[in-house]
Amino acid sequence: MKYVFLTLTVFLLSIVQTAVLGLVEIFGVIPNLLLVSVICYSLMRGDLRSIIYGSVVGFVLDILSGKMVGMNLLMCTLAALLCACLFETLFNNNSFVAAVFVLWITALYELLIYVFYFLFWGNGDFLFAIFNKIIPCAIYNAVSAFLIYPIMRKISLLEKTDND
Amino acid sequence: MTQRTKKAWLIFAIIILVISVAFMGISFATSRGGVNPGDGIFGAVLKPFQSGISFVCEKVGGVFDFFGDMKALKEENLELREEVDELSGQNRELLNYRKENERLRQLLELKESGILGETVGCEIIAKDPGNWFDIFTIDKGKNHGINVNDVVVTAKGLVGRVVEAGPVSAKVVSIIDAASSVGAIVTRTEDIAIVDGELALGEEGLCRLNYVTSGAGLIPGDTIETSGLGGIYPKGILIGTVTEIVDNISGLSGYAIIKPAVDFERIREVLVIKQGK
Repeated sequence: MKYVFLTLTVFLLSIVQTAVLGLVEIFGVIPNLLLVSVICYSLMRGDLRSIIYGSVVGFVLDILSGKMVGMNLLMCTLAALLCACLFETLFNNNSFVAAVFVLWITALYELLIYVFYFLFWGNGDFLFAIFNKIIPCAIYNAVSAFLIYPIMRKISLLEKTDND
Repeated sequence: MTQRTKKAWLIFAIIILVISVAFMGISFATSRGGVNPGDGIFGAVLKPFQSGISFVCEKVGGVFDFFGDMKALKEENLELREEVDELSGQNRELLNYRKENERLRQLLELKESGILGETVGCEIIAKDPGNWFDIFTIDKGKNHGINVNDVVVTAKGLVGRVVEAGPVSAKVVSIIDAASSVGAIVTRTEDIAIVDGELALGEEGLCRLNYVTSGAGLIPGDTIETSGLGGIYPKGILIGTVTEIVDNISGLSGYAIIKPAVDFERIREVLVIKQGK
């Protein structure tokens, strides 16, 4: 039972991410619910399990994207690690704080994707990327955090109950 | 009762009788002549009242009828609305079937024409999880003979190529993806160029025709096809049409903006051309 909830969450979010979110596209942008789940979960738990969860989600994102395997894996793990480090000092189980974290980490995440896949190869307008991709996605993810945070909190509580 | 009183009663009765007979006689006589002065007088006096009362009764009765019918009308309205909703739903469904039928018919015609060689019909089942790439997943893979670099088309034109093939699904990168590059030829002038995806243009479903010499004489509306150079895309598949020409400052070469023949927002079914690798 230990990893059932998390496995189910990854499975369901992957389906929603690739098959459903296209319907709620705003300004050509969809939220990255898997990344949001990693940030929320890591902020909540701040332990090794949250970092493993980040790695698994990153790997799944790599598989789903059809691009080079490793990029999302690395960045999701780093995002989980960063959140896990900050969870005790800054986080107080508040969905608003989680949304702020999601906003900034998403912006950084998307910026790194842009730098790695586009800027290095001289392809892509920087201002376009900032205003049409990075900022809208960060805002959309932050708003999505209010939906994902309670779900991840519930899962975290279920896991704790299961452990006890 | 005294004798005198009796006499008075009798006289009164006779007078009434006489008057009655007289009226009856007059009535009988006048009914033959077609004029009834009594009726005329009474009629003239009564008519406005009769009309007024009749009007009021009619209206008041109408109001009561209106309230009485209101409930029935509401129910009927509700039923009709439900019927309209149901019929609208059916109509939408039928229109969807019709569009799907048209798309599939076009694909079938293309497949049966045999121009493209052996093809596999596929459905798009998922899109890229992020916002940067135009990559989508199709519902067939290696088990159906699909391999990496197989070309993907619709009846309208080129879609892209397979970049990853699993046993039961495959990933296709579209020609508007920033990492995509296709060898192209201008149909009218036969000038060779390259169609590249670009981040900002891809957002609008457009791509770039690069390495076009200024002497190529491109004009908006020119059609662009695959050149067959590069070894992946077969020659002669329609890519799109030129919508805008942008000259370089040096004047040596510029680029053109291409509107792909395929509408990537509405794409549902595709054909994968098997390369037999």
